Amino acid sequence: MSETEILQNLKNGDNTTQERTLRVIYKHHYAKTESMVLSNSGTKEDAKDLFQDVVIAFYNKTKNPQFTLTCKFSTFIFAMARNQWLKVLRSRKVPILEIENTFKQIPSMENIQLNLEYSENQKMLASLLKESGEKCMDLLKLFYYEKFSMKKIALLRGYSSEQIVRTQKLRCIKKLKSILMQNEQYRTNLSLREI
Amino acid sequence: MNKEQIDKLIDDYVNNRLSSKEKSLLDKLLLESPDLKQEIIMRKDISKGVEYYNNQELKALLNTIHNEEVENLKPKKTIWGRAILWIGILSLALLAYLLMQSIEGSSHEENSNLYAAYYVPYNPSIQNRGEEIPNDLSLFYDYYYKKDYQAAFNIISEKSDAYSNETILTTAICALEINQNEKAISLFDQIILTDDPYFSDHARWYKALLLLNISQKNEAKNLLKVLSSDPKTDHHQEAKELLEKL
Repeated sequence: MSETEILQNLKNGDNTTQERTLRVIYKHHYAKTESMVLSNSGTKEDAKDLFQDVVIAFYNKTKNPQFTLTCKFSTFIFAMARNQWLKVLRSRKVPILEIENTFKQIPSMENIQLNLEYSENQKMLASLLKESGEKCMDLLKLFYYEKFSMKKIALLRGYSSEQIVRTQKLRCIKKLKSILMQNEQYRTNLSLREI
Repeated sequence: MNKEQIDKLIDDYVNNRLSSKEKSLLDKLLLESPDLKQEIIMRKDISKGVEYYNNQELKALLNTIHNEEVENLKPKKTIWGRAILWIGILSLALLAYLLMQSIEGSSHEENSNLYAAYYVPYNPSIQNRGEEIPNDLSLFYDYYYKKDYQAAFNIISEKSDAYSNETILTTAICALEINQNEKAISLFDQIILTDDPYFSDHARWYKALLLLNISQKNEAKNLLKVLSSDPKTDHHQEAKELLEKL
């Protein structure tokens, strides 16, 4: 599977294609990350968590229309893993001078971050998502997670027009908002929060 | 702006897709409508919440892939590797054990055959002399000649010190016959210590045969060397022959 295929499959592929692609990524790229973590104060569990977070972050990046790979996929993935692992080690207060020295051969690409941090409110919303129903969960996933256009969603789900998709989406948002507002803490803090 | 346009503007803001012109428009709208701020915050929570939920779903899938592509392979290899290693070790151990058993077995068999070839129960002379002997002794020898070695042994064994070296020797033979080897050796030693010119040699001879039968070959050979060294001793020739065979 070429790097272009990996990118395209994750961006636009159906569930089966995406899963197949994720397996290929695992088979060919996990071992290097595991080796890096184990050689630098980490455990196999750390390696597993790190690699999975890297893959998830990469998956999310592919949804951004402006995203392009400017280096080899393996380099990009490994740079993400390295950066994230350094972050983890700093948070654990592990001396990293020697670790940083061992990474000299890898392009730093320090600007590559995972961006997988979520607030408690956002995590709470995730736990309430099921209350909106299967149809809303699917629609909101296609829009906010897969970042498909209204046109594409209409095509995928057999809606007769983009307008109907838009209307349906608004209904789902309204439903979720009312679920959120039932939470007293959320409601109270909402007025205190800034954009 | 209608509801849908505002909705699109909000979504584009949440997804960092606003142009600078659209950004200015949104800033203006925020000033005009304070509720819009809450709307944007909630929309952001929904957008990120949906992302978080689906990332968790993706993580679950990756866990499955990890187990199938990484974990299930490694342990199998390790388990099989270890299994083969243990089978190999156990096989070698079994082979060594069987080999040792075979060697010991053949050696033990050889010794037992020699014992059987050379052992003849002692023939006491006491009754042949036609002497009057006490009842318990008479009973002892009756049992002995009838080859009821256990019965004979039971009569004398506890009080063997009170009797002659011949009776002690005969008692030792009874012990040997009923596999009371320790008792037999003790009685043979008792006789040997007396340095009895006649019965000491018999004691050495039978003790040597007993030791051979229980695979204490070296100790048996030492006794046989003593017997074979002096042509005047009883069992001299047999001891010499047996020694050569050992």
